[in-house]
Amino acid sequence: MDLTPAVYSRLAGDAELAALLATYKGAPAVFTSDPAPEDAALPYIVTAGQVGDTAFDTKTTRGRDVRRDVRCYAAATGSAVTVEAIAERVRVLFHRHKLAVSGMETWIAEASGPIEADGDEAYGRIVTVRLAMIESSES
Amino acid sequence: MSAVKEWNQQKILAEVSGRLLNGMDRACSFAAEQARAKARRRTGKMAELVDYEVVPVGDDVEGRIGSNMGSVSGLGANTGEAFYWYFIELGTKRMPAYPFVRPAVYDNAEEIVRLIGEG
Repeated sequence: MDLTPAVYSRLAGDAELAALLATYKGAPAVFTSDPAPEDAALPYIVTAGQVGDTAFDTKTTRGRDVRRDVRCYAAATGSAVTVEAIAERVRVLFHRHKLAVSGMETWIAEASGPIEADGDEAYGRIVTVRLAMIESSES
Repeated sequence: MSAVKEWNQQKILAEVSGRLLNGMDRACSFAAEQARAKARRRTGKMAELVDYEVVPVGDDVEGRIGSNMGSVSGLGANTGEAFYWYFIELGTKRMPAYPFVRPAVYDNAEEIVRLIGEG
């Protein structure tokens, strides 16, 4: 299941979100490795790996129910306005959006959060995306 | 045909509440055990800190799983070891995330619901 490219495309392909993020090697700073590269500048997004991954089967279909964190970080400057704007945009991008995942058809798409995950160097907000998908008949 | 001869609402509510609390306690105990098993083991301390509590909130019953240092209020905990636990679960700018509490719940949702229902 190619979930990571689909999530990356949804995030990096949104002009409104890209305008809120730094760039890294010419692309919006969205990373699918954890942690982000050391030379990456804030603000950026990290999304890697699943928080939950269970079967979403029926008698005649096979599927996956996946939960994934999208972690948003911005510099700790005394204001969380930027990181909150990023996280809110992420939520909009995934909540009730039928994400196009190769070989799968999305049945449920929910985004929860953002929840606070501030650190010393950076403010953090985490949006958790839930996607319940079935294998499409073409796969 | 039998008929209801006595209706003791307080007794019924007490019975239902008791079973619900018992079911939630069993479900949380199970989920906490799953979280301990998933906890990253370097010193083993993180697994030892996983605990749970069952709290009546108004007409509802809440089950909370988290660290037993400071608050046990799950991801809202922000004191002492619980503060560190929070960052292991969620990651930071510099530290990868190693989720172990939420997967323990998400990946065992069916069993958790069954245990709550059993009472």
